[in-house]
Amino acid sequence: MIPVTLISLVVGGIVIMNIMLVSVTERTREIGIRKALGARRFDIMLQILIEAVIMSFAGGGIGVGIGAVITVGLTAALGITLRVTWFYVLLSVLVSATVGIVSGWYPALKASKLDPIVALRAE
Amino acid sequence: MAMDAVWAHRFRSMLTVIGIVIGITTVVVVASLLTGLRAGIVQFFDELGPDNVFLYKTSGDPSSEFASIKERHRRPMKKEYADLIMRAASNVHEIGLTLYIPPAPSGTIITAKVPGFETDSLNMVGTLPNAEELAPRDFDQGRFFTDEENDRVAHVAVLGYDLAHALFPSGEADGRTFMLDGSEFTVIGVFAKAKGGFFGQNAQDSVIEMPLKTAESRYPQLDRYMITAKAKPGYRQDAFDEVDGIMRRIRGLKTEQEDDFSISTPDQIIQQFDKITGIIGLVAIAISALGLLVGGIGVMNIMLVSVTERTREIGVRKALGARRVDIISQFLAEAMALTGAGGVLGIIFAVLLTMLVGALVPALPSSVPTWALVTAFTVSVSIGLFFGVWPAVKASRLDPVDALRYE
Repeated sequence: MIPVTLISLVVGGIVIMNIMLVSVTERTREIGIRKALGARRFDIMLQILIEAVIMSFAGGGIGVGIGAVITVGLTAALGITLRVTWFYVLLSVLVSATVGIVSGWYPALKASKLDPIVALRAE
Repeated sequence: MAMDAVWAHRFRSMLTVIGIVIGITTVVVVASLLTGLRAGIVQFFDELGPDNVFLYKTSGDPSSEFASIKERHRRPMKKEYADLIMRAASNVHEIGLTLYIPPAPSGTIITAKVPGFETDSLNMVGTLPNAEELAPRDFDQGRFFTDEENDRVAHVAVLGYDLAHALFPSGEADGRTFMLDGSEFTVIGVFAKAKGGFFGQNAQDSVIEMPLKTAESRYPQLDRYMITAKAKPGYRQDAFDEVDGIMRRIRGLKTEQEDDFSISTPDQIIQQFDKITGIIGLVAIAISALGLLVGGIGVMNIMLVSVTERTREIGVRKALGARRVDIISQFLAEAMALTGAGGVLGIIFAVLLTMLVGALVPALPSSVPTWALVTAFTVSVSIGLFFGVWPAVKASRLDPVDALRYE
């Protein structure tokens, strides 16, 4: 089970990175304005990172939710007692946060390095 | 043109198809390894003689002592059965008898010794001279033993290739002597290296084959006989049913009782292997399917972004007379080019990986099957088609007036 999960986590993380990169490109002007108004590199990075983490957190949350529903459903359908283990819920939350941070890092770094002059001129 | 659009966003395209690359690589590598493994095993059992039916006490490998407790309590396979079967079965052409000698028949482990070298990695059997007709094997040097040698209980042996070269490093083994469990044996032949095997290993390469009567006189306490019945060409199934029936009669089994002996043919063993590899294959498909699914969703996502980004382009094309079909086929072609490229990349990785495994672990044979390549490419293009439909339709529905105004 673990390799299967790992592959979908890796691929999912790459998808997040990809979409954050696109999002940074789309919002070049916004980033330029924020920088021109005095945002530091750290502020821009934090903004993009938080977005990525929220996204992966939401994904993790939905996953835990679906898992819980399936567990309850199986318990009712098969008559065996299955329980949602809090340890694994916590683990999934941690893992999804990690995936968000790892895959958001590069787009965030790229955004923070934008030159405000070039960024403001971008169409 | 579709390739141009993919190439224009190289980095983005690469990230998009990485799920597909992983999925395709996994499934092609696993398919290659299983194909190679199967080829080795098919060859291995081919050497045992495709027309042969094997009778043994337990269902395990006769050369190992492992068996379930239930099977261990079965009555032994008696050597007298061989004659009974030969007389009664009309579809049996020839019958062979083999006595398996365990590594330690009387407590201490048997070794083969020459001055300055001793080894205990050997598989000893006593067999009849007709073993060469039942399952012909190539010889590196020398010959198989004769009826005359069997009758006079001669201390002669035919060795497996690896064992012969371990005992006699010069390679000249024919006519030389060695000590086996306290008595001297003369080498009269050496088998050529066995073809096929499990993970490149083949127990046949460390075999010591001696005449059956010699084995029986040295180890009279043993009863691990295996009977090999060679069917008349083309009548293997008939011979199998016939031998099974005769054995049940010999053992006095009632209709509702199960066989209390093991009867098998080489291709039944291959079928069992296929069942196991089927499970491994399913796991590989599950892993790659997940990678492909997540990858496909990634492709859809990026195609949606691409449609939004190119709203103005779509507007211009529509204003210049492009129909909805034109827009749909444009974006579908792009999605398919994207995933197709991912599939090709996956195939290339898989072939390289298979070659690497082959170079690093020579014991693990592998060959990339053509069907896996064709399937991998078809599946990856189909994923582009499937997940590209929605973005393409969305693009085709854009109103040219709005699209042209889009900033």
